[in-house]
Order: sequence, then C-alpha cells, then structure tokens
Amino acid sequence: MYTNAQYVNGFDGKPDVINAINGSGQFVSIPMVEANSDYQRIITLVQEGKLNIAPAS
Amino acid sequence: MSFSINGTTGITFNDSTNMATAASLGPRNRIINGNMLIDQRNSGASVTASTTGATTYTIDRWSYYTTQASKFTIQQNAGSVTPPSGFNKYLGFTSSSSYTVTSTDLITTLQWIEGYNVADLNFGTANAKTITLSFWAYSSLTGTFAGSVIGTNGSTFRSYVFTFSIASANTWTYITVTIPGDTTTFSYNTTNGQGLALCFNLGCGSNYQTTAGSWTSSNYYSTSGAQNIVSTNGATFYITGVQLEVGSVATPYQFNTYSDQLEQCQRYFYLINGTFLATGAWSSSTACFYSGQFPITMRTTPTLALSAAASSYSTYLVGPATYLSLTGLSLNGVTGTEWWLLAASFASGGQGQGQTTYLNSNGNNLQFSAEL
Repeated sequence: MYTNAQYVNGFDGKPDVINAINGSGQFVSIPMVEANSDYQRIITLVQEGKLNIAPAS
Repeated sequence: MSFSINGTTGITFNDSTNMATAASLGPRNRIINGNMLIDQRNSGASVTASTTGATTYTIDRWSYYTTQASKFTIQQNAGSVTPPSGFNKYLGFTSSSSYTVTSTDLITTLQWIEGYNVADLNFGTANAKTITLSFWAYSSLTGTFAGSVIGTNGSTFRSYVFTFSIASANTWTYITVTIPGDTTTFSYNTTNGQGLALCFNLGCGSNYQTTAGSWTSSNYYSTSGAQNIVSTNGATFYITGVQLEVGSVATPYQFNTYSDQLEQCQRYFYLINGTFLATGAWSSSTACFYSGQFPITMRTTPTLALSAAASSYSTYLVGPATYLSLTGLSLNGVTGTEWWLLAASFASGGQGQGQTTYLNSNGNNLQFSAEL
C-alpha cells in the first residue's frame, strides 16, 4: 500500500519523516511518531518484509 | 412540557422520548459526525475504493475497509432520497456488482472512537457499562443485517456482533440496539489510540462471522445469514443519525452546531484549501519553510497528503511578483499536534534568505490526517 518510501532528515540530521506514495497514488509525508496510524502501517510492512525505506538523500 | 419518571425508563417526556441516565443530560454521543454532515475530503462527491486491504475515508470519521476492489460507490446523500425527519445528510453505499464473498472477504464501514472518548465505559472490567446504539437505516434489501462493536488493546481484539432488521425496502427504519458492557478482563485502550469501533457489515465471509449477541475474542463483523449487500448488484445501504451512548435507552440524536462538529472532525483530519495555503520564508535560494496552526489539537502528529504532485504547487515571490514551481514539499520533523511546518525545495530562483513567500495552491490542497 506504500511505494517509493524514503526517510527525510530533520533539523538534527536524523530521520524523523518518511515520504512515500500511498495506495491511492497520493504523495504522503508521514511523521515517525508511534501513535500515527500511517507510521504504524509502515512499520508493519517493513517487519513483514513488504517495504524497504530508502535512506535520506 | 410535561414528563413522567419511573424506575424503568427514567424520564419520559411528552414527545415519548426517554432519558434513563444522568449521562443522557449532557453530551452523550460517542460517534462523531453521526449525522453525516461533514465531508471535508470529498465535498459530497462519490468515492470508489480501488485499494484492497486498506482503509479509505469517505465522510469525515467514517472509513471503509475492503478486501475486494471497486465493489461499492460511496457518497454523501447517494441516490438523493429524502433523509429521515430532522436530518439533511446520510452516508450511502451502492453495490457495483453481484459479488459472492469468500471466507476471507471483509467489506465494512466503520468508525473508530478514540480511547479517551470511551474510557468511562469501563469495558474489560466488572464495572463495564451498558451502551445503546441508535441509527436510521435504509436499504433496497430487506431482512436481517449485521454490525459489530470492536475493541482493542493494540494487538488483540474483542467484539460484539449485533443484528437489526429492515422490514420494508427503500424506507427509513429507526434501529436501536442495546449492548451489555464487556466484563471480561481485557485492557481496552483508553488514551489517544483506537478505543471502540462501530462497524456495519457490507459483505464478509465466514472467517469474520460469529454468533450475535455476546462478547467474544477476536474481531468479528457479522453473523451467518445476515445480508451481504455486496452480493446484489445495485443494492443500496444508507445510514444516518448514528448515536452510541451510555445506558439501555436510546435518547434523541444529539445535534451539535456545525462549527462544533467540524472542530470534532478536525482533530482527526484537517483540510487546507484556497488560493494561498501558507506563509513562509526562504532559508536559501532553493528551499523555504511554510508554517501554520491547526484549529484544534490533533490526535497525534498528522500525516501530510498532497492532492497533487509537489510540482503542481507553486510559491509566490513577493519581490518580483512571480510564481516558482516546487520540486518537493514535505512535513518537517518538528511538526507537532498544534502546529505544522513544511519544507519546500526548488530547482533554483529563490529570493534571499528570510524573504517572505506564499504557498500557492493552483487549485490543490493540503490534507493533514491523524485518523485512528
């Protein structure tokens, strides 16, 4: 349900957002916050080996 | 106005409405947008969910989950029937085919209620409170329909499947269902995560069916023999006036002002549209930051979704009074639940550091989602 996932670094130089394309083809910018349901789905997909997240550019 | 009081139904007013508990005297509906009034995402337009195994939001706070693509069109006031008295809007589902569900299919519409808003129900303890669901339903089909109330501790589920009957096709029917509190020990979420979900079955297989009328482990949505609306091409199912409250008596629907109801919805989804979406400042010749405030504290730090590619937005250069296309637009990590910060990038051509700029929509919008 997500493709083209990539970490985005915050001001401190550490990843705190994941940019991706969702199942509807929309660009989404997902904060790496545990209570965010999109982030929860991303983590599940990564754990199931269904999604790779590219490093921040 | 006259009223009577007795030990069974509590206060009965002269219009025959009842209030059985003290909780009925204040804000009591745990469902948000139960009268289907707010539709920030689609503004009344039809939606067809083409993504399987995922949640699609339709009218505010109401989501649709399906294991099969494009089985329903979903729309506020689909079919343009007259809503029940006192209501202007309803949520409508129209089946796009005659699909026979398999055991693993699940097609449902539901609303997750935030844990904070059901913490007082004491579910999962010996003091669990009885709740009552009421709503108006309309269908081209008749017979027994099903839904469920589901709770979670974050990893496992509890559920209570209920049934209701629609005897006359294409006629609004007022439904009430009283559900005993779940007294089985279970750690229901009582903070800002998923608390309880109210689900209406549109089509589900045997894996998601159980006996109606009692609490059970796992997540179930229907019972054997209940209508699967997806199985009839063109079948309709409409609902409105959905209320879930404490007690064993259904009280009249609790109407809110439009502004209060919109604000309730904006805790979970906030749409910014218009010509200029935000004000920002340049940080270099190829980057700038835009910021803004949410109208209400969101449930958690939200996801940003763009309605079009970043290159479809532009920024207004105040000095030369020209527009410059973006190459990227993203949340910045320091975004909170009360305010947001976006980072935009450009190929070149920005103004000097610190210069003010405006994010131009070009007819697109910004969508912030903190849904459950």
